[in-house]
Amino acid sequence: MKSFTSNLLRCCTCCLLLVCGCDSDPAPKPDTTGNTSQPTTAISLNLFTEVTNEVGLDFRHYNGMTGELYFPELMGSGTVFFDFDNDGDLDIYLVQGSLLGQDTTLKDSTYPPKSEPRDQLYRNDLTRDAAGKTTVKFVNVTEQSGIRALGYGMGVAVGDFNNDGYQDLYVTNWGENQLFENNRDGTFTDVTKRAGVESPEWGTSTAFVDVNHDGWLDLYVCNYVTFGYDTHHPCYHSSGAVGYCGPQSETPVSDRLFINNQNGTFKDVSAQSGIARVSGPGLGVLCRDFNRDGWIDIYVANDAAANQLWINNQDGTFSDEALLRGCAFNADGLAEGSMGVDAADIDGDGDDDLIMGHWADETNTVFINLGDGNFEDQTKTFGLGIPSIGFTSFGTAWFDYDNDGWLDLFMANGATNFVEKQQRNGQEYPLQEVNQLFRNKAGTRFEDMTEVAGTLCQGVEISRGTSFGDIDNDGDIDILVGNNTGPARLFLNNVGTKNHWLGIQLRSHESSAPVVQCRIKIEQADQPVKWRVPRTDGSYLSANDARVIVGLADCNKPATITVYWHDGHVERWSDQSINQYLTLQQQAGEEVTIGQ
Amino acid sequence: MVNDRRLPVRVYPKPFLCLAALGLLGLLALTTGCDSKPEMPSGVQLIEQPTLGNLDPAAQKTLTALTQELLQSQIFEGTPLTFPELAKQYANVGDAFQSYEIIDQAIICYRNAIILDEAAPAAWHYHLAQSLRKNGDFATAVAQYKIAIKLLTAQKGTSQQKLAALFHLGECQLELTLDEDARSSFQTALTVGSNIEDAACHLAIGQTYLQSDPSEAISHLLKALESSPRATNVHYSLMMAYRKVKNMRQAKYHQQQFQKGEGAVELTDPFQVRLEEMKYTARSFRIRGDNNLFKHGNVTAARDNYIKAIELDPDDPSLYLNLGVAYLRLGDNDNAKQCFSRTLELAPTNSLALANLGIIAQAAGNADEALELLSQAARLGPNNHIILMKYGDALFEKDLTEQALQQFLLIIQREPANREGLTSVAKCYLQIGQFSQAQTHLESALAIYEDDVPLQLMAILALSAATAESKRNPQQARLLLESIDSNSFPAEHAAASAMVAAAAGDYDKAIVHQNQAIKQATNQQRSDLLPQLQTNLMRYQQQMLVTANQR
Repeated sequence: MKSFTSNLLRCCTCCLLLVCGCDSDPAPKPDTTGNTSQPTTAISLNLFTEVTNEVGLDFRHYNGMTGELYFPELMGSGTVFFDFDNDGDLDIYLVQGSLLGQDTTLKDSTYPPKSEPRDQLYRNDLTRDAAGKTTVKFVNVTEQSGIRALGYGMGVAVGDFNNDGYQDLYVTNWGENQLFENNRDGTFTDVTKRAGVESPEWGTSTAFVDVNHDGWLDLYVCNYVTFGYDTHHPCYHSSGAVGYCGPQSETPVSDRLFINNQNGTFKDVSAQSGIARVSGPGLGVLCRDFNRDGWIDIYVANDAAANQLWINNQDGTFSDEALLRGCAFNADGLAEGSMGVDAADIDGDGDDDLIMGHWADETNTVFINLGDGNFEDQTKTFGLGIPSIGFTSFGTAWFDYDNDGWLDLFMANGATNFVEKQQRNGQEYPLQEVNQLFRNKAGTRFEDMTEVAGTLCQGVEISRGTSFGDIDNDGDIDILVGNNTGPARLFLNNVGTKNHWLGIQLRSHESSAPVVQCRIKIEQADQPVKWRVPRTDGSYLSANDARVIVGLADCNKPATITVYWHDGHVERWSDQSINQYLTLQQQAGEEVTIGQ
Repeated sequence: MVNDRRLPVRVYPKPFLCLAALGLLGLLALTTGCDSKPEMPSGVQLIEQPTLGNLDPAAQKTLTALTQELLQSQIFEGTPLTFPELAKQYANVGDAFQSYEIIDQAIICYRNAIILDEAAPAAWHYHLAQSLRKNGDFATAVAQYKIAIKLLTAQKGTSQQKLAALFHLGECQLELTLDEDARSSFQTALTVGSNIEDAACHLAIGQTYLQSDPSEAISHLLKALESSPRATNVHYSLMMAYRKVKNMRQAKYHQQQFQKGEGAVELTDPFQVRLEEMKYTARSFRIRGDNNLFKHGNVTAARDNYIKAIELDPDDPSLYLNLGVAYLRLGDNDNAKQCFSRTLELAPTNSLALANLGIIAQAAGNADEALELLSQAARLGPNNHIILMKYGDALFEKDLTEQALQQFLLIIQREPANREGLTSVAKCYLQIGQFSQAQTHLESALAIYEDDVPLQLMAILALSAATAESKRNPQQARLLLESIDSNSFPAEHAAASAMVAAAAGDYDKAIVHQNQAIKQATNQQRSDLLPQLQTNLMRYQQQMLVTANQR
């Protein structure tokens, strides 16, 4: 019962307000962002700038959704940097989805495409002016190329499988995969059947790799799960909300390994190699010599299942040693939803450390290589755990964005469960997330640079495949991000060239196509030794620039480069000028014995 | 002069008018009991109506009712609540939001509740901490856990509650790399919990030492193992610790235990019980059922949850399907059959229901019915390898071996190292007498699984029993036989020995071995083997007579 006095007081207040012409205080407006963290006042350092429209890249991903929540529509697709015409600059290939559903037409699509959905090839007509400034310009050459990739596209591997000096493409699909042989004249031919690399499962990430040291690229294909329209069913999350199914709702499928017969054909050795003994929902793959025995091993990131580290037994077989080597599960012995993956030396100790992108409820994981191919989960130590909670990470790479000599990290993010807050705000396809950039602080910890990265991390989209490479040949690494149901976006690096750098591309003595997966040691006087491995694989469903850019910070001294070739030979190039690209051809360097 | 037709008025001074108005209004307020709305304390944020369209109807109804009430209360519509009453409402809705994973709104609710009620109970701080943690705000979560622990101590909370708060505090501190603080929290937790919960604390402490002091880690992990000897997460951590100290023997031992282990050391959270109980919906019971069935292997609990789910949603075919699977695993085929039939009434093309009915028919000895059901299932579910395998088995049982072979070949085409598929293909080749193909196939299969005894035995058969002598290779068969441990499959091993002897023309020996095989099979009650063994015995005896006559 309210007192007379308090009533009177309240009335007086009310009346005073009336007389003064004021109104009562409006109810505080709700915080529409639902953001519980303090607002930041970070100033953008503009580390990257989006140039998609200016360079003529006009690709929009089509995921074929019609409202049924089919599993494949969640996955996105891959992006590729590769030089298909051998003119010294990176071209782009973008993988496209297709219509889903039985008895549906394009008109039934939630986001109908403007034209027939198919993979696209863009040629980079890079020009350089008198001052040395480069300008990127892309021309869509899909039609002329002869590439007809109309399937539900997923990932791509890039490699010269026939050793003719030109890079070929292997495209995975939910459905039959395709091998496109580069005809060296701007066109490609589908040689899938002839080559014997048909694979009707749901293929995802894939990589060309020479597993048997014969100088010919073999092919590893990750397979995901056995999804079909007959296995499709509604799935519910722990809240009871209906949403997309995850890998645990289907049966995982074993991966495939095809050995190159050196005559344009391959032999499927999945069973006898041991690879097919274990079925896992594979989404990421990379090929490195993890145990430093001179033979390439294969790491597979599996979604909600143990990851695999296929150690090369050097006899055509592989053994999965991920569990005992500490890189199958996280620190609690739990499988995580692994999507994108990369490996490189982030702590400057000469071996390759792993990064894996995971679901929103999990942290991303950093497996530090202890030097002998054994790993330890040190995610927390490097400060990459907490910042990744709430983000589902796909495309990723260790790369030195500022050329200070330490490898930084980019994560392309996009949810897989509907975000209720976005639904509340009226988002039609509520899976958007911000991408993240982390700077390596001298190999001890990472600093979150997301808010100052510029346009690279400003967009909120459903990011998936991501490629890393120097698209404008200016000595720093640029990024191409593919977005599910969204545009592919190209971001140019604005800061890398403020430091010194050295670009390296390896060639075999027989071919002009790039050689990858060899270890390279870079030395400068009074500087720590840097180890790098050129690669096209890693990330998520994507392929990267085969060249290596080594950041040299403010050191302008010449560099000595030592290459450890696949055949066991070691060669050195001494006293090399920096701030340029070097092409190192096998047998053109100074032969060294190990220990020198 | 201008004619002014207005009534003459007195001109009163302004202040007088204001005072009069005030007095009038005051009188009005007193008589009508009107009141102004209370001012919310600083820091209180209003919640928004969540989007509930993806949740099941029951959940939508519950949450809508709760939030509608709060949306009105928070702007003091109707009869305003006191702050403590409003706080309780916020906390209640916060619990609902947390249980349905609307975390950002849950955080707002708990924060508001704590601001509005100075005597906020420990549970509110705990739930806020849990929500902050899910949102990645570990630093603030730590602060809230600490408050919760203080309050639990002051308010004499249960030991389980204190343990949960301390444990989760430690986990948060670990995420923030405050390892010493985390250890201290876990150590304190050890003093409040029961013996069962000690394992979780020892595991946690052990994990904090893994990187820096693996020997210390091992001593704690071994303590965890004492009360939970099969816990996979303990074995995993021990494997990592032993590997770090280069004790590979122990590392491999714990690796094997990890792979064989069952269950994990986990802490039960008493605060979560209420949140789970808030979810009284078909989907929630279904999710619990699925977790019980597919994750924890607790089939009885799964069955009970599915039954509850069906009570709330009797028209969901997948609920009947999963309940049927639970019944099958419990060995209750009658109830299972009813469930699968009901699934098909609601979803006539459900391949899994058809396949499971086929399996039940097989178990009941109705081979024709089984075949028909599995055939339908395979047609409707061509991507399900388990269905294809069962269908192939049913065809094989009905002596439709060629058709069975096609099914198994389809499986190994997609899964080249599928052991069951490889074995079944070999079985088919042998059954239809394609010994050359069997030999080739088994050579590939044994290249993958060189120690697989059934494959080895079939290879011996293929090498020994080919009708054409040129296709036999008794030497290779003997070598293979010698590599097999006779104790692993004694009846089969003896039968294989008989085959090898027969292939070499030594029928005396073959008969001796075959009799041993029959004896072993009888002892082991291997009724599946006896008919074939008897047939082969007769064949060897006949061959022996033929050979003797020829001499």
